[in-house]
Amino acid sequence: MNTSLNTFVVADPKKCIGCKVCEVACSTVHATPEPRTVGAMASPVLPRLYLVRVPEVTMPVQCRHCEDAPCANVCPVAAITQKNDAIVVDEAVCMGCKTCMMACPFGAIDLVPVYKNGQAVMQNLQEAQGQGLAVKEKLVASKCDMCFSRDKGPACVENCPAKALEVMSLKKEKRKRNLSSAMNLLESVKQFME
Amino acid sequence: MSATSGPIISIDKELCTGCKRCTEVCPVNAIEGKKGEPQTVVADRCVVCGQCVQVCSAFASIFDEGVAPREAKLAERGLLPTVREPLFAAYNRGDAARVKDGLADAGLFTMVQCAPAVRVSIAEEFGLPLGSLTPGKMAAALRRLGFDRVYDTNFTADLTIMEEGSELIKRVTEGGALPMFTSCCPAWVKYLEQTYPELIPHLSSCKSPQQMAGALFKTYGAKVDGVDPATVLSVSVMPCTCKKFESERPEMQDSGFRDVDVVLTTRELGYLIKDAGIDFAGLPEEAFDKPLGVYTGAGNIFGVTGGVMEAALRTGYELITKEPVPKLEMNFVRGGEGVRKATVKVGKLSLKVAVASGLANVAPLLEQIRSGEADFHFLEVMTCPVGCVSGGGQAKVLLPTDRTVAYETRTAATYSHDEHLPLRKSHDNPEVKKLYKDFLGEPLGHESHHLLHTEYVPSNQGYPVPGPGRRRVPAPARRQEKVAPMLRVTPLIHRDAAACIGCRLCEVACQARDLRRPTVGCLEEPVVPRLRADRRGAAVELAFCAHCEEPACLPACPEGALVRRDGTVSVDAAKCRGCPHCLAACPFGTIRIAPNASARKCDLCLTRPGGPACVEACPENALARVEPGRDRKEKNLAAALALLAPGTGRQAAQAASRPAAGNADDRTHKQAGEL
Repeated sequence: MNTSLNTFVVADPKKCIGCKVCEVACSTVHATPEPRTVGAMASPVLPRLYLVRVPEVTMPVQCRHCEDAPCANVCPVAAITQKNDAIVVDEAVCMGCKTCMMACPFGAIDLVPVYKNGQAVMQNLQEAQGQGLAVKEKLVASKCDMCFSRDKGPACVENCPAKALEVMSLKKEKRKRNLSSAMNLLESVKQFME
Repeated sequence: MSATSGPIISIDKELCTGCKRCTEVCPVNAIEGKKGEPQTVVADRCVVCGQCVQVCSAFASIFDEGVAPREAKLAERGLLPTVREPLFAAYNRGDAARVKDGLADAGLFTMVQCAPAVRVSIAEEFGLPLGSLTPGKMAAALRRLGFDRVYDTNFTADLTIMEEGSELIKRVTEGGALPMFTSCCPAWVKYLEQTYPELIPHLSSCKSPQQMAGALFKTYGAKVDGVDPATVLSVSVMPCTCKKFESERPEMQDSGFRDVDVVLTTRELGYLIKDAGIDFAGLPEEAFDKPLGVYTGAGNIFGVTGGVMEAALRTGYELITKEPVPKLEMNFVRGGEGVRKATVKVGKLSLKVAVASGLANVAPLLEQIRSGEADFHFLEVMTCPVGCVSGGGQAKVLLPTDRTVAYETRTAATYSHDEHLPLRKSHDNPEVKKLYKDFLGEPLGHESHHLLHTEYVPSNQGYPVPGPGRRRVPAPARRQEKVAPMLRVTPLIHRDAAACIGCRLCEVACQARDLRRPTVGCLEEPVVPRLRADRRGAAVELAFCAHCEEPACLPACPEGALVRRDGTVSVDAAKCRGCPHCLAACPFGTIRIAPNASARKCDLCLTRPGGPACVEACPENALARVEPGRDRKEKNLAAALALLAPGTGRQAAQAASRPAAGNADDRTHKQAGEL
């Protein structure tokens, strides 16, 4: 049985400057073909993490890759699954019902248009507009996939100019904290003895 | 055609998040504002280098509400309506529309020049690798756009070497302000004028290659083609935003007209090419036009730091010693950001030179000069990090991790172009020789002095500070009304499972809406509501239509009776024949068919003034009409607060986030519809 916890990206609100580079980087590396310059982009920026900017806090919020992921549990077409230690959406299966969006307590999922080769993918289905019918663009659920197909890991972490993002591995983090609390205890015992 | 006034560099207050990364790259501290709040450009301190435009990452999101629509922003920025790329907070004024109008005007003779750095970046805007070298495709594209003459700034870069080299030799041998400074970077010139006015005599009196070309277009160029200079539209394509400022300086009209009418950046040329539907990558390699499009490798390396110095040394050495220069590649002046110094033996003369790249690096050198400690003869300064290839008007790199790659590949492509050109020394340019023979006379001669040289004055004594002025398109009214985000996801009915008491009043209200009967006694049909409630042990589970963005029910209907209207998925009762196909397709089981009637499903009570009847009827306020995008943002905020202060944030998160729409059982709990 695999008992390892999923890793996830988390931001340090004390370091984040709110520049949105993480959002741009996320959108860039998930586009096909991957653009290098702004002019080569024909789609809007479609990030999978979202900057929160209020007086109290500035930081991006992204998927925690929950161990019992509510988004995957509620998906009526099983488009959300656990894959490579991450919770991922199969865009081909998703029908845009938004139930995962409602289920996620972090707001880590949104529905976005799909772009292929600079063109928005349209649905075969049409939409009533006035008297006639109009084509509607395809919208699918989009969420962090930990950049699993990228050798260098999550693009948001790599590109953050404030080094505010990190890949959190809770097993390591737990050991780190165990160690630090043991050292703290040792220190206080020493002080008490003196 | 008069120049457009108005600020060249601006920061969009609606988009700026106050991250202040622009202030880190601004070499003159011209950007002000508190952290976390929108920043402002201080126009009289700004040197218009555009590095803030390059670094800015605060983009206009399709999820944002209350922001002026994209069309209004495009117009405000002077961008063509066909521009599709994302918009960022820091931007430069666009002038492509003026060029498009000019090209469409049959009464104008259009001439265009391209700076050396544009040819190593323009292809990037069409998906080619960073630093792709495409001078031939660029010339072909300009010709397809309709320019009558496709000329090259590299030609006047060669000419600059002849004039500036001669000027340096004159100052060294006959006396004059030393060290002499290069003057081809307009941001550097503006900086010197406003910060070190007492050092202005050190600047070479040569105009920049752009302005030399502009002055020649409407004199020599018009003569070559036998056209009236008044009908010439002089356009330049530059890697630089400050070239717009330079072209608008009042004294830049020695041809008798505005020497350069419109300056486009590399990015703006990209917009024009895309607007015209030209397949850039598929274009053939074409040559620039003669005579003002002929260039040597020396002219081409003006695009990188140290390039002007290297080109000047190649020519200076040969003109002074009358011998071929031993090695063309002068690695001691090549490099990246920073300061490089070298001593070059030119005959009997030991010429001491310095190269500064990145405006912030030049101040210590200028202090040395001011205090009389400087011992060098010639100083090249480029404002941008590694010269014009990293200019503010170049293709904007998306990933910070790609920026160095872009600088390196563009620099390498510039040197490679020089290496493969047949002529690599400015004084070997045959058309430059011809220009002197037929038109100018000699370097520093009378005609050269008139057309190719200029005088500088401290900025407080003459040049207008860019300020609000005529704009091509009036800025649209903003902020008065809240503008919806570009992306609209259909709302849906959401139940707070913890609050629901299972009274099923929602079902009754839904049905009452349809039947319009005041009392139960009036009902003659069974109750078939448009939402689904099922007893599950002690609890009642509710299921509502999700109004899927790509609904499975819709294509399942053989009659085309299911339609998407105003964001909902609704049934057209006149077409429905009551077959069960939609029922079978819906994964939620929220469509029902009443006996001898059409399919019923939630339509969000679109036509009901009070909104959804179920929401209104719920005695526990357990139901809500939710906009998923807005809900997502609220949960983002709660999640961020929770991480910030774990003690209080957990409660805040619980209060803000609603329980999940259902649990794992919901998904399996789909039944065949009642027929």
